[in-house]
Amino acid sequence: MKQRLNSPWAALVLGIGLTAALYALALRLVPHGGG
Amino acid sequence: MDWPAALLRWFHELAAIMWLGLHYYTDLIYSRARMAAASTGSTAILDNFVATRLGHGLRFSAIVAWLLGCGLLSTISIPGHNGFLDAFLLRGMYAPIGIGAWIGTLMLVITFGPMRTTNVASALMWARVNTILSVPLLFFMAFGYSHQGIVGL
Repeated sequence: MKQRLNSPWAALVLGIGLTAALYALALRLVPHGGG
Repeated sequence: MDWPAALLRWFHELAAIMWLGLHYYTDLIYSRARMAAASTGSTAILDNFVATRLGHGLRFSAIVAWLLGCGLLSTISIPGHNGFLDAFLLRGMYAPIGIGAWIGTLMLVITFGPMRTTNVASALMWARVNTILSVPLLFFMAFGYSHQGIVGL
């Protein structure tokens, strides 16, 4: 398990997840977002 | 030709690519090389001859990228708006690039803070954190302002 978390692929997956969360936030902040 | 905006963007990108490139080298190559070296008890040669120079390169490229990025934000001001302020305050159409600017700022703090240590193992752990942060960073840098429409922002 620890070895899996140490994989660069785990970093990429975490990064993409973080991006999705922040993208949802950006949609709320931009007046015309999501249109 | 808008020379200041062009030069800021050009050299911001150069420094940012150097910063992230060194980060990926640190996280993907150096840390693995160090693990392999640890099995023969020879991490000292890496830490003494590579880690210090790596730290210098990371900090130099990080501060140049951040400062030029801040300058670049001011060049995207439109009448009635200050791009730098609106981005960092996450206002309106500047909010997405502002999210990118805040992630970059957090990464800069990590580069100059917890990564700047003689405890190489700890620095490498923080380098991994910055690698994770670089994924949303690049998303918001690429799409946060000039290409918002591509991602529906």
